[in-house]
Amino acid sequence: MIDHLHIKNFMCFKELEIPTLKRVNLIAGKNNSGKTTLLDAVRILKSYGDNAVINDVLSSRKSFIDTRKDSYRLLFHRKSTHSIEIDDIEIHESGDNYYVKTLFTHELVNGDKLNPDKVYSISIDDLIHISLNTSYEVANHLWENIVLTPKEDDVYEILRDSIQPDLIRLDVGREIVRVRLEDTEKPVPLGTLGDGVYRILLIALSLANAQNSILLIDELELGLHYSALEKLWNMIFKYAQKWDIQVFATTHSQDVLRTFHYVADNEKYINDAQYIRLQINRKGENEAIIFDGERLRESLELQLEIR
Amino acid sequence: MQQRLIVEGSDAIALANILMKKGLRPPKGYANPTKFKEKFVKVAGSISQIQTVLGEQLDTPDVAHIGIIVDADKKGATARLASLIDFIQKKTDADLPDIRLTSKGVVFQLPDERYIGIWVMPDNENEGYLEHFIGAMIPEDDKTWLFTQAKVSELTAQKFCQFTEAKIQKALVYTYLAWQKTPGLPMGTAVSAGYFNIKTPLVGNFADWFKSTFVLE
Repeated sequence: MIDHLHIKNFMCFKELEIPTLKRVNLIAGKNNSGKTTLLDAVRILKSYGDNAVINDVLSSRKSFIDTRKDSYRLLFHRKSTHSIEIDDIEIHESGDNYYVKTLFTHELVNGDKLNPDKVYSISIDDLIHISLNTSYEVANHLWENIVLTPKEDDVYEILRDSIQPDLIRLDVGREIVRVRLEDTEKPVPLGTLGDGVYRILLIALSLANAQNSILLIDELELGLHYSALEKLWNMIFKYAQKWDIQVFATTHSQDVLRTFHYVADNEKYINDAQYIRLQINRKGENEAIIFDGERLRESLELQLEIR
Repeated sequence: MQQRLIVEGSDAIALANILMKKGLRPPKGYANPTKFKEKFVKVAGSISQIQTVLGEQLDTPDVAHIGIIVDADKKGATARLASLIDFIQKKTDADLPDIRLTSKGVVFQLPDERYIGIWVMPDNENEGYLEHFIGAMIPEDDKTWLFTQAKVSELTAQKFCQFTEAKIQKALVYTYLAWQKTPGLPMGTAVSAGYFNIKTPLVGNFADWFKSTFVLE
C-alpha cells in the first residue's frame, strides 16, 4: 500500500503533499484540479518510472501525437522546471533528453533515458487502471487471467449484487461480451444491457486482477445510475479488503460521494475509507483536503457540502 | 466567490427577515430565497458544532466572506469570541491582530484576504441568546409584552413550567407571539408582519455588521 504521496512539478501540480492514504481513496475536485494527474502519478510511482507506462500516461492525454521526445515536456509543471519528483522517482530534462531516476538507477548519473518508442501494453502494468475509454481488448485480457478460477465466481457475484441479478454466465471476447441471463434461450450481447453493466464488469474484472496491488478508476460514475453506486461501493470495499487491494477512484458526482459516505460509515470499513478533495488554496498552492472516516461521518451528520 | 453565514439554530433565519425589512440588499449571489437558505446560511445545530462547520468553510478556498452568529449564553460574549478567534488562528495558521468586541460586533480580514465577521448574541456584551435580541425589539411599554412577562413569571413561580431558568426568554418571546393578531407566527414571519420594532440602535448595529461582513447585491 502507498501510505503517502509527495509530488513536485508534475503536470498541474507544482507541489502536492498527501500525508496519508487509505485502502479506498475517493478523489474529487473541480475541473483541472488534478484528479487524473494524481492517478497518473500513482501509475508512474507503482511502475518505478517504467518508460512504457510514462509513454502511456502521455498518449492517454492525447498529447503524444508523434513520437517526438519533446512531448515529455508536457509532463513538467512549467517551462522553467527541469525536474519532476513523485516520491523517490525523479524525471528530469538534460540537454535534449529526458531521464528517469529511481532508487535502482541512482548509480547512473542521469538515470535511464526515456525512449518515445517503447510501446505500452496492459501486461506491463502491475497495477490495474480503468480510464474513460478502456477497451474490450483490456476487458478480454483481464478476463483471460481469471476465467475458470474461483475469481470468476466473484466477478459474477459483483455483477449480480450490483446491477444484474439474473446473470448466469459471461463470455468476454475481444470484440464483444455476451451474457447468459435467466430465462433466455440465446446469449445476449452485453451492449444491449446498457453502459452501466459494462462499466461494472470492468470494475469487477479489475478487482479480480488487482490482488495485493492497486486499482485506479477514473470517473467511477461513468454510465452508472445512482441506485447501483451504493452496491458497487459495498463490493469495492469488500473485495479491497479480501484481496488486499488499494483503490484510487476519481469522481465528479455528488451521488458517488454520498454513497461512498453511506458505505464507509460502517464499522467494517470506516478505517479503510478516505475522501480527498484536490483544490488550489487562496495562496494559489495545490492542496489536498483529507477527510478520514471520522471527518466524513461528522460532515454527513451536519449535512455539510464537502464536494 | 461564495459567502457563508454560520448560525447555531435554524430560528436564526428570522434575522434575514429583519435585514430585509430594514431594506438591505441580499448577499451577492444569494438573492434566490432557496439558495439563501440552503447555501448561504449554514445551521450548525449547536455551539459545539460551530467549529466543525466553520472549519469546513475555511477549507473551501471559494468562500471569501464568513459571518458567524453565536449566542453568548452564560459563558459571556468575550469568552465566546476568544474561543472562535483561537480556533480560526489554529486552523489558518494566521497571525491575527488583537481583536476586541464592541457593540458593533467584529469584522476582520485574514492574511488570505478572507473577511470574517463575528456577532455574539444578543448585543456583543450581555449574556443571552437570539430571543434576547428579538425581545429587545419589543417596546418596553407594550401591554401584551408586560402581561406576557407577568404571566410567565407567575407560572414559573408556581412551578408550572417545564423549562429551565436559562430558557425563560425563549418562553417569553414565543408566548408573546402566541398572543398576536395571528397567533403563533414563526419568528421570521412575525418580523415581516411588523410585530417587532426594527428601528432600534441594536438592530442598526446588527445591520451594519452584516453589511461590513458580506458583499451585498
